Formats: sequence, C-alpha cells, structure tokens
Amino acid sequence: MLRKRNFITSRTRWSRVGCLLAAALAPATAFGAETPPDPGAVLFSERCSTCHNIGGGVKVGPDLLGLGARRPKVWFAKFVRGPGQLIDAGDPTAAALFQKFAPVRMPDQPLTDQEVDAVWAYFASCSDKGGCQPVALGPRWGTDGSAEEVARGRAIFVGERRLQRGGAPCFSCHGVRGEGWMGGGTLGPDLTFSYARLGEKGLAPVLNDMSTPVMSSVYGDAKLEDDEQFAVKAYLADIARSGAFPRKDRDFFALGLEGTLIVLGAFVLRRGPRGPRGADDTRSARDRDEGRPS
Amino acid sequence: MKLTATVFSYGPYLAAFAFAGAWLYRWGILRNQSAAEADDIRPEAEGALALGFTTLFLGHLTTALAPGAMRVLLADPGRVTVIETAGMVGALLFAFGVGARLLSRVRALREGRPRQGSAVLVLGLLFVVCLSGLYLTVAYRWITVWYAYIFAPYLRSLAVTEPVTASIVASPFAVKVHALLVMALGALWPMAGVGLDEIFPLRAVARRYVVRADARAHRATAGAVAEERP
Repeated sequence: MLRKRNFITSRTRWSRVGCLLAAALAPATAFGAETPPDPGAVLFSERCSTCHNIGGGVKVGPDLLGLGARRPKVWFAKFVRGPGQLIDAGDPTAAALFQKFAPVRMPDQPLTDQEVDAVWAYFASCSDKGGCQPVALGPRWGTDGSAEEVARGRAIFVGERRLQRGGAPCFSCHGVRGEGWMGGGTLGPDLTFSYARLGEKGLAPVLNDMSTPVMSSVYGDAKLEDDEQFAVKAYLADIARSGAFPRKDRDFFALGLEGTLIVLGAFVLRRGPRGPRGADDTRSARDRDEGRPS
Repeated sequence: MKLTATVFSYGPYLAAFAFAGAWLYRWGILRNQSAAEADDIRPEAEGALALGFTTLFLGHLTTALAPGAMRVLLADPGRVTVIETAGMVGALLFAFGVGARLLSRVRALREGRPRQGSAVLVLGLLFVVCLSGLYLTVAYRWITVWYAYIFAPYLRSLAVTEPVTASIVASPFAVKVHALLVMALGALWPMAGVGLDEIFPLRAVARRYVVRADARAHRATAGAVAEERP
C-alpha cells in the first residue's frame, strides 16, 4: 500500500515537473518559431521594392539581381545615398542609368553603413537564389495578390471553388465586369469598382465581419477564412484596376418570355388544327351538362 | 422578438392548422360541396399549366430537400443561367395556365354557376403568388442560388420545429410577401372547392404519359392484328 502510494506520488511529481518544463519551454518555442526578418529584406521592402525587383524584371528602375557582380559595393553606397550628386559629378554609369530610366530620378536614400552592408548582403543572397520577393510588412493589401491568388479569388467569387465553411458564393448576389453570360446576382450591388470605392480599409472589414443584414444572416456560421478573404480582395483589387465599366446585363425577362413563347408555339404546332383532348367538343361545360348541341 | 420574426416563426404552423381546419370544415360540414364545373381551358394552356407546374414543383422541392446537391450544381455561372432561365420559363407557363383557369372561373361566376366566388378568390391568390415569384426572379437574380442558401435552411428549420428566421427577416420585402402569400394560399386552398388537379395537375401529368404508353401499345397490337389478317 505504501509502495503504491509512493508510486502515485512519484508519478504525480514527475507529471508536475513535465508540466512545468512544458510551460517554461512553450514561450521559447513560440518565439523560436518567429525568426526575425532579415534587416536587409526589410529595408529592401520598405525603401526599394516600389521601384525595383530582384529577379522579377525591370520595374520603374532596373532589376537588382546580380548587382554585386555588376557594380562595386563602394560605388553602390555612394549612388544609393546621393544618385543626383553622382550624376552631376559626371559618373558615366550613373549618367547612363539616368538616361535609360528618364525621366524618373532615384531619390536619395540616407542609409547608414550598417544598412548598406545589410542590403548589399541581401542582394547577394537573393542573387544566389535567383531572385526574392519583398517581405510582408504587415497585413497584405488586396493589390499585393499574386496571379494565383487573383485566380483563386475569382473561383471563390463565382462559386467554382466552395467556401471552406459552406457560405454562399458572392456571385449569387453580386456581379462583376465580365463574369457570366447574364452577369451576376442583383440582390446586392455590382462589385466591379468596390475596391476602388471602399479601398483596403473599407473592404477588409466588410469581408471579415459580413456586417450587412442579409450577409450577416447568410454567413452567420460560415464566414470567410483569412486566406479566402484575401483571395477575394485580391480579385476585386485586380478587377478594379481597369476603368472599364461593366456591360449592361442582357434582359433576363425578355429571355424568359422568348422561351415561353417557343414552348407555347410548340404546343400549338403539336396540337395541329384539332386538339387532342376535348377539341372535338367545343361546347361549354354548361352546354355539355344540359345536352345542347354545339 | 420582432413582428416579422414572429410572423415567420409561427405563420407557417398557423397556415398548416388553418389548412387542416378548412379541410375538415369542407368535408365535415359542407359535405365536400365543390364548385360547379367551369369551361375547359385551351389545350396549350393546359399543357403550359402541366409543364410549368412540373418545372416549379421539381425546382422548389429538389432545392428544399437537397440544398447541398443543388449548391454543387449551381457552382458555375453558366449552369446558374440555364437553370434560372428554365425556372423562369416554367413560372411564365404556370402563370399562363393559372390565368386561363382563373378566366374560366370568372366566366363561370358571371354566368351565375354555383359556388364560384371562393374558387375565383383562391385562384386569384395563386395567380398573385405566381406573379410575385416572377417578380422575384426578374428583380433579384439569382434567386435559385440564394433560395438554396437562404430559403432552404429556413424551410428545414420549420420542418424540425425550430424556426431560424434571421435570413428570411433580412431578405427583401418582396421575398416576405411571396412567402406570406404562399402561407395564405395554403390556409385557404380547401375553401376553393375545386379539385387539386385543376391547378396542381400531378395526376394529369402522370396520365399524359400513361395514356401515351397505352396508345403506343394499342397501335402495336392493332398493327400486329392487321398483319395476321390474310
């Protein structure tokens, strides 16, 4: 009995130690999972990625892939801190770049030596990898969506891809330019320019909260997942880029009316000059009841 | 609880009780006195009624019973357009057929045939239900899709006696009117004194095929007998 109690006590003690260890290690593991971003990558994303790609081709300025092989670091440090001064000083490389990308003139970037080192190292590592994408510096905007995300957003919008929580596709109540032979639903407004009209800050909460009365009831337990929200946002941002207005929808009622007339015409043609049922007896019900001749 | 939510929570059950009460009244007290027969409608109107009813009946019933399957089917703009157009043609045909029946009953009422008033009233109500459905189809596309997402869950919640009215309460006014008219029609139907076949021609639809099959068999037999003759 005593041995049994000792066994239970020791097991409880070990389990407590285990819990404490797990509790002590958990935050460390959590922190360990989030590796701090490369300072060079952050600098590039903040200061350079608007005009430059690394491996993605010429943007506003030249592609920076393989920059370390093309230019010395000292020249880069001078140029990035004051491109205008270097051009005015008659540097041939700076002048050639200015002529190639005119009329855009690169603004001065007052980087410290450490920052120049960091961004230069980042360029080198990216060149080894064949290119880099800018790192995300906060919640992504719809305009940052890749072509795949835009395509996914379209599939979600029109219902080709089911929502993970089973909600209705946007297309059932909303239209966008160029989707569907007859256009989208008309219960809600057309969303072709919703991103341009509401902007990131206006559209993101609508997709997240589904706050209109109909949407909140339809999507009560079926809200969009984060990745779905982003894909739809990316699709709406993409479709808002072109300023073309949606075409006028075809007249749905006219289509239905034409179909009905065709069916009725088929009935008449099929019946021929004399109908199949009761056509040979054209008397009214009262005449039939009373045995009157037609 | 808001008034609309209350109406859509209890209304369908009240309509069902009213239907049962009216049915008992007609059978027990009125001894099933039916309205006098009205004139036949034209064969194309009868065909339109049968085809329109079949289309609408299948569309409404399939979506209510299997909304998940319907959602999968409707997950493509092209398919939605085809199904919606077919539904609209069905609704127009049904409205045409019901309109013809209504006119026939109005003529019978003018001729002074007995017990036509209630028949005209109920057929008129059915005609308005039809028109309100058509209005919904045209004004709020794509009604088939959001019927599967908004209306079907409401109908299923009614079936398990735990009404969830949030979606129907948030729907446009025309949707609520259509639903209320359907409830009123259900409650008043037994008072019409007309056979179910006159409006919901299930037996007529079945009979068409049975008669056609019989006719084919008859023709085949007659042909065989003619060949046997010297």
